[in-house]
Amino acid sequence: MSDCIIAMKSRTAAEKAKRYAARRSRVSVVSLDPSVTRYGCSVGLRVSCSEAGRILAELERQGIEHGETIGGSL
Amino acid sequence: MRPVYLDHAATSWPKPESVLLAAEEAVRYAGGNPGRGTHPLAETASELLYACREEAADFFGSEPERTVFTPGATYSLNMAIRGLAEPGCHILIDGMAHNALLRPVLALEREGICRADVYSASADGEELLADLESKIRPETKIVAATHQSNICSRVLPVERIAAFCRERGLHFVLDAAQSAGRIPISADGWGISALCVPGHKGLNGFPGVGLLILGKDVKPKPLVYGGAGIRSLEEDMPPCLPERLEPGTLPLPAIAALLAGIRGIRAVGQERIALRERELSLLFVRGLGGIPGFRTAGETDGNVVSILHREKTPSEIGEILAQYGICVRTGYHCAPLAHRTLGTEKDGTVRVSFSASNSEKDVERILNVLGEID
Repeated sequence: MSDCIIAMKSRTAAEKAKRYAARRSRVSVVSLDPSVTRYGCSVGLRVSCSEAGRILAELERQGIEHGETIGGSL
Repeated sequence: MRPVYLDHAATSWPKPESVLLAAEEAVRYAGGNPGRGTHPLAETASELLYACREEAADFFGSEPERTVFTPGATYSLNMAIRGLAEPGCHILIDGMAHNALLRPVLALEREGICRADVYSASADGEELLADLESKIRPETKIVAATHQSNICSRVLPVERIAAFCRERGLHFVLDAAQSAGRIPISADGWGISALCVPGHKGLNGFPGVGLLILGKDVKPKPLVYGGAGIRSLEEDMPPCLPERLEPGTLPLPAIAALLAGIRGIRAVGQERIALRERELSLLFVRGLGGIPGFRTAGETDGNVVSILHREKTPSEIGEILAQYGICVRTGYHCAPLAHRTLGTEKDGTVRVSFSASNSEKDVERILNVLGEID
């Protein structure tokens, strides 16, 4: 099963997102490769691509800011 | 002889065992730098940091993203006042303000950035609000208030002041240095723009960490700049909170201690803590009433009681008490405005401040020594 990365706006947002997402999915916070950001260090949430849509919807519901999703096809 | 610690308004002591243990565990097992990398130790540190942020936000009725760790309440107040002030603005502070609030405001005045006035810290809420209303100007931007005085137990009607500010679109900055952990505070519920909290007083944590809890859509300018762990290639601090206001490495052991402190308070309940403190201070005041030569200054129905002797100065009383291992604070307590309000500006006062960790025996010991003073 492939993994997707949801880019997060901040480390705090990533930790908050992890709390919500980890209730039903396996998630972890990862550093994003500098090639995918234009402004240096950044973090994302590694999730199973099959779960990404559900997790994104949960983040929207909770008002947790996030960026684009990298990898997989949603 | 075991010291009798009655200086809880300065800092709480002794710290609960759970607080000491939490700090030790943070040093031993979460030694990475939170928010800096995703290796296992940094990850554990980041999770611990967020756990405290979440707990503190929930305790004070806010959200983790708007809960900023600072080096202490003084920094929080400076960050709020300086960060929200705009050139030409007018700031109002109360007559009980500590220097942590007064001095940053006076500095802005000296720099020609803002003008400031002091409004009444009357124990009568109607009088206070009428005076506040009379001092509002078109350019008023910030109203700051001291929740509980640090020289007596006076508590200002801050919910009403917050509502007053909300109706007029003013920022409301609350100094909760003495009240946090004793009086329930609802940051979002009351509409507080910036809630400034120390970690080491009523929350039973260590010195070196405090909180700045911001209202929705309140974004002060940073006071300090540096690394934030994200957006490193940009020249400015990251736009998102709380990282925008948290440059540099955070003191994780102190933050872990704060988390344990807050959890400890929640387990007991703020109301129960305040009730116990009030019992002890009332016992003290009742006993003091039977000792000739002493009187109290200001309100005494909380954990802070200021006393004066008809002949001896506060520092002389403090020295006598110290000889018996009794720890109190004497002088002005960094609050000249409050002494002016209470009429105790000549020599200040002897401040006796209790916590729920004190006992009736502690009250008896201080009364015994005071009773021997001519």
